[in-house]
Amino acid sequence: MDVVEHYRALLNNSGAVIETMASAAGASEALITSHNYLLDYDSIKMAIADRPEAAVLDSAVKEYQFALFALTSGQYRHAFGGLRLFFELMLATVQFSAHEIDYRMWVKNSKDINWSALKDSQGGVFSTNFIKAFNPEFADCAKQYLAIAEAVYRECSEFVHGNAGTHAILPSDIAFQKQTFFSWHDKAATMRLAIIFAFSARYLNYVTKGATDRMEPIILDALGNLPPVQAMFSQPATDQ
Amino acid sequence: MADFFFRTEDIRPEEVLDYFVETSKDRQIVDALKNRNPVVLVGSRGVGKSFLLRVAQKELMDGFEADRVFPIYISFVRSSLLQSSDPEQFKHWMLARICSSVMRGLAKAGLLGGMPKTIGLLAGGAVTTSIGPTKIEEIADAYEASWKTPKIAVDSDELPSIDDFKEALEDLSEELNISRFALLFDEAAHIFLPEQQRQFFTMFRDLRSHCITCNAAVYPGVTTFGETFQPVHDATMLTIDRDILAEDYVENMREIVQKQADSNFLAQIVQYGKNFSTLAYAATGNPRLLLKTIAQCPKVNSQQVNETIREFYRTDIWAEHSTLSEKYIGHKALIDWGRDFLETQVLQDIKAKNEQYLASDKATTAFFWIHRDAPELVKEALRVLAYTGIVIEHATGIKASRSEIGKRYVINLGCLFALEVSPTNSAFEIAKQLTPKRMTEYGSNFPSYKKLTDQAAQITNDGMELALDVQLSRSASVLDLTAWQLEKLEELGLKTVRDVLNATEAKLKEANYVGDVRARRMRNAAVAAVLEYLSG
Repeated sequence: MDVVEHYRALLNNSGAVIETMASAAGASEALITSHNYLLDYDSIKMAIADRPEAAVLDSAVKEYQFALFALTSGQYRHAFGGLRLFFELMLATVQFSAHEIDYRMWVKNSKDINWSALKDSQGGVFSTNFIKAFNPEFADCAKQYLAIAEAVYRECSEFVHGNAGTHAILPSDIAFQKQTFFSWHDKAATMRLAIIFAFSARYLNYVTKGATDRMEPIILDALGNLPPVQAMFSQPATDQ
Repeated sequence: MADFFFRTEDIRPEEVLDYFVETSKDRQIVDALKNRNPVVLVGSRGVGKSFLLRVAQKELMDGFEADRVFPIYISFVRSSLLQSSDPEQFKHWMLARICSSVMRGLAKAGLLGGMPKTIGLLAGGAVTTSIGPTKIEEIADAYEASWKTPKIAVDSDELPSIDDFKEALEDLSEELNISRFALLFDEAAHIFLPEQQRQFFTMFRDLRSHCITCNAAVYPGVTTFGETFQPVHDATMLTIDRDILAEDYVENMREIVQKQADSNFLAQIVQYGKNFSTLAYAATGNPRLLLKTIAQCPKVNSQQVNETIREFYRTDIWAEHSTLSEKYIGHKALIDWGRDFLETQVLQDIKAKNEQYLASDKATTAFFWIHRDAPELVKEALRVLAYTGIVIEHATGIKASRSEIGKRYVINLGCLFALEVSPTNSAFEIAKQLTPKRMTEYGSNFPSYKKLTDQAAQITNDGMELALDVQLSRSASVLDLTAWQLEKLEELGLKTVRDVLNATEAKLKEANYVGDVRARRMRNAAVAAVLEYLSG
């Protein structure tokens, strides 16, 4: 048996997956929408480019793209795993911004990123303490975003841990699976909300006017129904 | 106080249909907005303009797959904050805003792939990305760069023209199989800035194309249309008014509240139906006024309703009107006269008449009429009253005594009810027997006008910039800060509100013992002081 040929054939199947996807109703649009979230993360990155933790965001969006790639090639379990890793790295960016020592240790491989620390109700990125320190106006809304973050993380973990249910849903070979495909996009959209909230709460008070202007449509789109966000963006626009 | 959504902005756009109470008039407006012909929607604050734009947007988006009409909602609410001496800047600001809204809308719907600027896309070996910037992105960048640097003279030949923009949209519509773009402009033209109104409507007219429909929501006071735009001809002008004389009026208003109220509240409304009707009539077709007042009467009993009507319609409703005169110094005389005329003349006249009518079991009134030859300033004062919703233009070209022609207005019923000793006892009787046939007439030379026309010289149009300038030049000591913080500002040489506003937080932190939190608080106080005068 030619092993190389075997894997070549699998890759060909991936090619067939993307073709089936392209002809499924609404699938290309869903893919483009999720791809376009990169534009939002791009604006966030520009806002914090000078900070050390921006490097973590870079790694995060790289993983996001690998997850999208896994999704389009029909490797769904890996797509969910990659998405979860992306989410963790994004929130770790926010966490590291407040604890530079942890970031430096992480870079030196002497500290792990840990989900329970990120979601911790005392010191995590959605905790009242954390948000009050950087943007007290956002503190009241944090709880619901923590709940969203926890739920979406847990749903992705089911795929990572290989829960029985996921074996039943996922195809056993490389083939397009419509329901799973769309469910991935739903999760990517939910994560975007939680991520934009966490970044807004942490950084908005500390970034340049230009960066705020650039992020305005993104934040208004994701969080425009929150009173502190409306208040923030009704401030005078200046010519500078 | 019950928790209601008073403003459309607080509702997530995708949930807007959950709160929609459809009257036949609303349906007509939403259908018109979805249609190919341009629409200008006119209404006071709080009558539901933003809401109907959002409903049209949602319905178009839901039907996009079949109809291929792509809606884009664009709010110009911050336009009043844009201060620039160069008239071109406002136009470029609007166009930049439209471009970026179009791109965002298409990106979000998954119709157009975007290219991140700093994030590297996955690529390996021979794989390069096929995603590049679109023409419309380039146009947006050019406009953006222009309005942000007003001090640098712009070579207009270098900038894309409106035709370039239209062409880019036409290309996109062809590429993406979109039959047309429906642009929905909210807060389209600022009421006190005629120059912005002129520019907006000129752009509105110029954007006409087979693949673009413009629709806009404006306030009743917006009347400067520029040279090219002709109302009626270039757009259907629609007014949002919920007819208080309609049989199902109270029913419709009740449904609006029902969409947001809990069961306990609903039970109270059923139990005190007449009190609710009184509040509904007091709101004179304005859902925001109804929601604000009902939120203050959780029990809906007579005591609460009477108190709310008196407080809200004697004081609160006027507060917004009166702050306008502080914001727009040039219009102060006009705004203050409007309030005085209504309170001391119109309301008193109408109240006296209703007392007579009710005693003799005749139909009642809330209408008044102004001669078409009344001084322009008087009409302008009434336009400002229509903006805040204290009066509503009811009909134009109405014949009054001796066949004279003029405009009929209806006064906010709440203001009329607030004069009653116990509104829950007498107001309902007034409301249910109203007829537009009875109106108090004010001729072309009514004596009260003189007080206003005598002050004509003081009324100017450039009050807006003046007000901002006055506010920015005030001493920093007016800011709501502790003595210690004010001392720090002094140390740093920041003397005026403008200095504090322009100072970066880093600058504020140069003072001893001023850290992140204090620096922010000090700057926030400056922003708040300016906003107090600008937001509206």
